[in-house]
Amino acid sequence: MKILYIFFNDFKILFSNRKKIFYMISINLFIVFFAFLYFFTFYYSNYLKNEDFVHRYKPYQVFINQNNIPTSETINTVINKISTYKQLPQIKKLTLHSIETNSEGVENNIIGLFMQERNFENYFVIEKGKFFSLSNLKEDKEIAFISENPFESKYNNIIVDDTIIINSKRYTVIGKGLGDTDDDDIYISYKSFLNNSYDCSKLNINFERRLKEHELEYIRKQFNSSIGFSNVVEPPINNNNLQKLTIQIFVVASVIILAIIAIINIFRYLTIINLDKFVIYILCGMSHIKRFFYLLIDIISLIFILYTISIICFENCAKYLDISTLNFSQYLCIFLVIILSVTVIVGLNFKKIINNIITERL
Amino acid sequence: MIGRIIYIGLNKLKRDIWARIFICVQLVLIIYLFNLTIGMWRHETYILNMVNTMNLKNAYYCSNDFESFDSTNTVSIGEITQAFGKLKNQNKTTLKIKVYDEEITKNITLPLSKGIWFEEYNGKELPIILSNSYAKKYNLDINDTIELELQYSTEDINVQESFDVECKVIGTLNKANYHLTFSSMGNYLIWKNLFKQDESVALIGSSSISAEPLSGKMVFLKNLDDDSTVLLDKLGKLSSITSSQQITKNSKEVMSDKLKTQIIMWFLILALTLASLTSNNMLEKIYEEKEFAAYYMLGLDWSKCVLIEIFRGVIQILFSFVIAFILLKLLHGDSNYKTLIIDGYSYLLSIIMVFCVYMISSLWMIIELLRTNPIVLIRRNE
Repeated sequence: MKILYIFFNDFKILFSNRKKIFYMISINLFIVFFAFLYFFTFYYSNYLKNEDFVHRYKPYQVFINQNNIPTSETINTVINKISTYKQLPQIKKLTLHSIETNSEGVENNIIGLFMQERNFENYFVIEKGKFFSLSNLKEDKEIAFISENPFESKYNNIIVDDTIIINSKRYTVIGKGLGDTDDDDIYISYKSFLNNSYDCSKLNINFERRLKEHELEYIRKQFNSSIGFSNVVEPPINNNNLQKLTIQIFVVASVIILAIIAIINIFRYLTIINLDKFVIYILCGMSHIKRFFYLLIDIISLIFILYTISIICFENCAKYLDISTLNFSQYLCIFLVIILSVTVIVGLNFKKIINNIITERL
Repeated sequence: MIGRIIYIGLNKLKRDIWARIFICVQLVLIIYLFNLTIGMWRHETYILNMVNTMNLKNAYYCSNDFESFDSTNTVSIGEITQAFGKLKNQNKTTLKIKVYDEEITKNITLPLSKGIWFEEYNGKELPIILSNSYAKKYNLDINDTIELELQYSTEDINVQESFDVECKVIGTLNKANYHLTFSSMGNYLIWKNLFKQDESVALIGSSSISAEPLSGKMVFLKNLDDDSTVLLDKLGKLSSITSSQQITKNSKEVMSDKLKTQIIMWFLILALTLASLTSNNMLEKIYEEKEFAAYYMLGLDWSKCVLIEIFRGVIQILFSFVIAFILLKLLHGDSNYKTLIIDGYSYLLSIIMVFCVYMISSLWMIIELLRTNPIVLIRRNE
């Protein structure tokens, strides 16, 4: 009870003694928290968007040696190994590429497709019909989707529900769209591609995140041991984005340092305000730990109040600024990091600063 | 007297060294943040400013290639081809070479750091303009003659053609290294899609060299009359065409979205600066008002006390500016002109802003000094 009484009494003094300075320091801490939440959330969501874009549109490409084309079983075995290996990220999208020449000498690009999520389909502008459902892609159904070259397509005359013949097998066209390449591509399901034993010249794999070096090495080993020489090419790293990311990290780091200084200012203010009281506490024999504890509780309470206000303001402003917000656990995590750093800052400097101020005072 | 004020100002800097360090760290970070945001915004607007100076009123971009066009009296069609090159007999960095034909070089002039544009060149040798960074890297200068090994893909992508050419360096692109290219397209065409930034790029101004054509052309109307309208309709059937005004409009729309974000950032940094410096200065006031009251009672008037305060502030700002300048050079020296543009203007603007904000934040203390009795100040701090 006594401790609580002293704590509330101390906290009351914050609002009554040298009010203007206290309000200014509190406003500073509030703005610093708000700025940190803004910059962190804004840059973090941009980073995630960019990563998502890279992983959606830039796959890992596996070029297969055309002198040693693997069988469908071999490809299936390697893919199964990769997809079931727990240390690798999930495969979001997979395409197997083949070029088939029909009896009239016309080349068709055949792509066997597997997708984990529907949102990976927006490679195409679907113009007619529909795209595969996720269950379609897991079956060996004789259905195909044609992605046309926007300027010059050899499938201009084919309409939805028409039948096309590839490698003496009939496929019903379920839809047509514009792709992101200059070629005409015929998409069939991954199962159908393997069951019909098309010659695979290239594989494109989109993982849920960029692979680490040892993960990439594992994939290289799997392909080389099962298929023979094959070349696995990583999606390019955008250096411009990397430089932008560096700048963003430095901006957030600068705001964090400003937040630390704001917290130190609160600490300085509290020691100045409570100086006379501390001298009395020392004379009455209060231990160093207890003094430190009282001060720390004051600072943490103040930080908690200001942090909560800044979160409320940020959540409301985010709607108007059109930026995403963090969830409760992320806010809590940031708060715990602040508390930890405050404890370290106050703990490291408390004895030294108090002694210096008291010496100066006496 | 001035000497005395400087002495007191310097002496005050030595007292409570940690508080001074905190203020300096704040100032350094704030100058740094101001420069970064200004630099990022200047980089965003760079291409648009560059295009505005070109005065491309009757220019159109055609996304698709077309074989021939027989209206040379009404329009001129500019084409860009590309090849890759290396300095002959040297295993050095591969140059991305863009070959501009006469129509492009006549209608579009890129900013150069030194030298002349193709139109002003009268020599017999093949003129080449290098990117600033490539020229610096290999110590190449204006009027140097270089022998290049060029390579390009033919229509059959598996067949590579290669040949050697001798070129005369007539200029270097400015630091930003932007050049016109049509290699990448977006549905929403902005100038950034047509102008790219490369470290190792060279421009050759000649239609005598044939290389790999890029999918796209620039059409320049000679006159704005009925014939040209008919012609544009005709072109529209062959390809999707976008006028330079439309591209500028699209670019401005994209920029205005970014500007909104930048304004919020500037506002936040400004608020951060004001709040941080004011709170620090107010904390300092606890110690300083007592000292200034003593100076006043010893015969120094308030205006001199204010001068001491301003002098101390200027010293702190200048010191922080030097540290921030070093920090910017060390951390972002490589990114300058690639993702941001930081130069003398940015430094000047940031230092003026920080000085104004610092003075506003010190205003509180100055007003307090001018309004209060020194005895009250001393008693308040006892």
